[in-house]
Amino acid sequence: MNDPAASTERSAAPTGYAPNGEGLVAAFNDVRAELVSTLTFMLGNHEDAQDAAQDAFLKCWRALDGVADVRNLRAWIFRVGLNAAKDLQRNAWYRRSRPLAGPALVRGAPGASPIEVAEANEFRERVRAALQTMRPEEREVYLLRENGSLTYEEIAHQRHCPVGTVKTQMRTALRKLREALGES
Amino acid sequence: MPSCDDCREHLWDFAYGLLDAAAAETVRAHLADCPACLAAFDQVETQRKRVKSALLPEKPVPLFAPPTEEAEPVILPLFARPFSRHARHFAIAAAALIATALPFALYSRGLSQREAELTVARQQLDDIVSRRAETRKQIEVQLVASVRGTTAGLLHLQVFGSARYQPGAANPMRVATSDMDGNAVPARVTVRLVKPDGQLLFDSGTLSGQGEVVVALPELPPAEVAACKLEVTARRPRDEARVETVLSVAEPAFTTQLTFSKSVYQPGETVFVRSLTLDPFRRPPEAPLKLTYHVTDPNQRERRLTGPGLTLDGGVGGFDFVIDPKWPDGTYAVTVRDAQDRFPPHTRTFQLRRDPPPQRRQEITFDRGSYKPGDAVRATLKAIRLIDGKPAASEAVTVTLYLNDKAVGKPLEFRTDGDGVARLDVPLPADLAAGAPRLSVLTGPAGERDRIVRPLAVDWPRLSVELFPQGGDLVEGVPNRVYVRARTLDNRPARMTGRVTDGRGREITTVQTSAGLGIFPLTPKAGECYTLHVTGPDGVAGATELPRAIAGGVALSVPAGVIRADEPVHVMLYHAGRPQPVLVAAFCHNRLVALRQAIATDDGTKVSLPTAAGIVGVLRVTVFDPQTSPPSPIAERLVFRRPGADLSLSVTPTRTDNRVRLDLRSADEQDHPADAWLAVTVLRESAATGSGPSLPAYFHLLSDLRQPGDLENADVFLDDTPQDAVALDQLLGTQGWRRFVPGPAAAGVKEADLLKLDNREQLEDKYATAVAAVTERLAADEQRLAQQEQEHKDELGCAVAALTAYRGHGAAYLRSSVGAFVVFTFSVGATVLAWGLMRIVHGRLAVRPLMGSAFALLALGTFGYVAPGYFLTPNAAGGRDFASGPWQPPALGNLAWTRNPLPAIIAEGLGSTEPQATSSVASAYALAEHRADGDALPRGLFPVRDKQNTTPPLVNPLPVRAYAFEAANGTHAAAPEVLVWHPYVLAEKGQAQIQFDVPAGNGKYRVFVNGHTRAGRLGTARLSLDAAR
Repeated sequence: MNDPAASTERSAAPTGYAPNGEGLVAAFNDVRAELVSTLTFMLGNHEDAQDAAQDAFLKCWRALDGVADVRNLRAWIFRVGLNAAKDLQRNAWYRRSRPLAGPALVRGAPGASPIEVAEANEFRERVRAALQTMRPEEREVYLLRENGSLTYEEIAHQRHCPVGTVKTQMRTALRKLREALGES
Repeated sequence: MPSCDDCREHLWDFAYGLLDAAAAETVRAHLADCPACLAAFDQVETQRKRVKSALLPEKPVPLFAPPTEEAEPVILPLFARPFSRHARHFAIAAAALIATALPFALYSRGLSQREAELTVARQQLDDIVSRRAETRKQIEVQLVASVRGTTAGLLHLQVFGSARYQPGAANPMRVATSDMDGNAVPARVTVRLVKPDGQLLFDSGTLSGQGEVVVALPELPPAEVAACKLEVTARRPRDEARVETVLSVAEPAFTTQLTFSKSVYQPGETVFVRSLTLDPFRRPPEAPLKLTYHVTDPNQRERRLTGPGLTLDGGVGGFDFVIDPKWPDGTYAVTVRDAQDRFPPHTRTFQLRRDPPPQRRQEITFDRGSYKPGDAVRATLKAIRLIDGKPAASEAVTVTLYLNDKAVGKPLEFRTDGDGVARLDVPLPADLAAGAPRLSVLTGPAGERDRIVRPLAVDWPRLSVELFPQGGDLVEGVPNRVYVRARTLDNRPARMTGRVTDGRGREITTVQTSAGLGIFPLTPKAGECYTLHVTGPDGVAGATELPRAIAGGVALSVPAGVIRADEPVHVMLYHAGRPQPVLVAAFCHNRLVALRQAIATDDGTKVSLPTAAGIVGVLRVTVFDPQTSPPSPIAERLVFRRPGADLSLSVTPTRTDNRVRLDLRSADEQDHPADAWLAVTVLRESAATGSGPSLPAYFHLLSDLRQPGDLENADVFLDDTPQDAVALDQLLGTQGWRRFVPGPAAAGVKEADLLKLDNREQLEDKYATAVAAVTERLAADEQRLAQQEQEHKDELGCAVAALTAYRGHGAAYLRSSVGAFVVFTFSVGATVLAWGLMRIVHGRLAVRPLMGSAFALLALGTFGYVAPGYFLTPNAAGGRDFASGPWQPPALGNLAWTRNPLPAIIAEGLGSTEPQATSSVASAYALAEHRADGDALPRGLFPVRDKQNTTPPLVNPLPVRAYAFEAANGTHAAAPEVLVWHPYVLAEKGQAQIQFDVPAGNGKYRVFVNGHTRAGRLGTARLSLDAAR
């Protein structure tokens, strides 16, 4: 049995990266799927999320000199990524060209049967629907915690709010997720 | 230990690390012990991982790669070979030159273009303004010329005359023709009377006059004249003026006088009353009047005595009545009225006293004319028995002093001596109150007493002084005459001396009254206050303030208040200040008899009013203001004209025993016998004097005087002595004085005396029409020019606005250019300077040309910042000062056509001066002498009325009865006081006879004879008869 408490308390920052360009690239590539996923749910489509991620990467690259001072590189990347996403959201052109809710994201595991693919798609749809029912701050807290593996303290620090508030928003997000998944 | 349910409930929170440390430890411990819950936890974890994987993007995310270094862009040179330094400098200089000069050139070209437009517009406006001023001058000249032309063509016609047609009197009319400036204009005047049906009743024919024509309307039947239209037309070669009005006819007005046989009666006696009704010219009425008589007793109860009854021929009416013994003593008034109110009710009084028939004739002689309180009244009483004519010797005499019919003190006893004479000595109390004191004297033994009562003249320390400025008002700055009436407190005329002082107590003149009347001259100064101080008689004091003198009035005086029959009425008019035109009219019994126009000046203007010879008696001279319509009176006084056509009466008594025959003869002034109606009264002398003198003894007034207006209608019989004239003049000045209260209220009360017809309104209409035509024509020119001027003004305004805007834009452009230049040079200079300083600070050498350039740039920037203050100010902009404010059009001054000057010219032309009497009035009043010199009435003077129709059959003639004493069987005990009362004696061919008996004894009698003729002659005769002779 793996210890859930240990998973909650483990450091969110990928450790072992060298404080230089290579380390930064490695760290970025490690979290790129989670980052893009998070940004996708925030921005609504995959392309914007990739742009925002690219933008975040360039910002991080320009700030390469300060990487040595970063304690939790993963949290820092997510923060820069979220800021980039918010910059994109504030862009007037983005607001005008933002598409309506698009078709469900389809991804099939290679070699899976059609039934499994359909089940996986249905589940993904329900998860996505659950995330749509969340308020933006609840969704952000959930994604940072689940995708970014940030601690509640890091999230609270990033969002400039108390830890209790973050946890409350997390509980609400979980409740909505469980309702969507038929767990409660 | 929590239950499995509790544990499973927190599994999700536990999985996500949301539980606090204690709760997490509890769940962890439970999971260690409970395999079921642990399995559930695993499911949660599985689900979490599933969700987490579902979150990942379905598309593969490319790997991030570090960015590669970019190559610098390569700029290709534009020109193959760079410019040389000189060429570059030239290019910069050329560019700067072009950038500066080209806009300036364009700007200057536009500016000069707009200035040229402005100059043209200005010249055009100046031109049109001067043309408009020129045209305006021409218009004014034409207008004045037109006004003059129109004025010269207008004929102002004014007609003054009697307000109503006066039957039986002159109807003089003064027709004045003048131009608009008031100058007399010759014209031919026609006066016509046209009946309502168009029939011509009178046509004066064409009368030529030099500005004034006097026309007298002829005698016409009043019924025909009524509702007639009076048309007055004045013509001159190119103009005609015409006024008209509908005439009304003055109702015939009469005056009536009552005469009693005597003035004091006793119960049971018969009162004989005679009424004589005459028209204003003292002619008897043509038709009988219906009269009614009333008597009012002392308790003011009115009793009807007779009537209605008709008068006899000659206007004589009368009746007699016996006084009821029950009637109380006192004053009775008899009033006569006309059924048609053709004369105001006339009243005369008599006394009723219950005295037994006198046994004695008593005479009282006072030692003085008047007494003061505290004096002793000494008088001599002489009593003669009437029966035998012997003195009433040794008879008791009781004297009582009465004041206002109340006894004062105790009766005093005296006794007559052998000659029937008693010396009376009655002391007057020192504190005698004001009133009417009388002395009552009873003579004889009880039961046979005779009473006589005599008023006592007492001089109280105060007098009642009244002042009557001649003409009505005191007028400042011109000579005035002021009449004074002084009366004692018991209303007797008083002799008085006094002095008139001004406000500082300086004596101006002295005053003296004779018989209560006096006169003094006075020229009041403006604002001065005058006072009359009474200085005599001794012991009498007091002061009366004169009425305030008015400014601007007209003072009226007559050189003589009593004039001869052939004399015109002379009037002096004074008016301080600017001469004032006035109308002077003379009225006789409210009938207009003369009319003149005059100018009153401060030197005095003498006006003669030519009056027909037949107009005699009391004349009212009134001065009117002709400006008002109808003319309003401003001064007035009465004048007496002695009758010229007198009736001379003579009485010749013849006595045969006790029978007396009076031969009466009436003759005109040429001693031709004249038919006359006579009234003969023979009275005992005591009865004739019993009432005492109420008026000056010089003349005898037939009518009672109650109010000033009565005097005008009273007939005055005047003896031909100078004293009479003076006394009458003073009486007319005081009793006949009246004052006009100016204002509409007073005007409405009194009927207008004068008629004024004026074509002024027509002239104004005509004039306004002519002027309007000229004005309209000239105003069209004016309007056209004004329109042109406005158009040019608009053009000029546009040009000015364009130029101003253009210059504003240029200046703004210049300012912004200079501003940019300044900023640029400052910045560059400052940068270069800072760079140079930095080099010095870092120990390097300063680049001198660089520093010089920096300072030069800074200086240039400063110059650029300061210089525009001098070069770009509006005044320095050159040319006209357009930026100093909005453009103002040139002042048009009084050229504005704001007011039409013509009404003022009209007013000035019409109202400045009234037409002056430039020609003397011709004696056109000769026409007015309608009365033939003789007693025969002219034909057609009065319409001959059908008496059957006018006389109501039920009305009987008044019972005019005559009485003459006839002694019966030689007994004379009841000898009456009235021996003869004959109110209606017809003297045919100037002859009449009366016979009567004289009672035995030595009585003295008086004969009064009054007569009048059909032609209006009046006469009176008096005679004393002594029965002893």
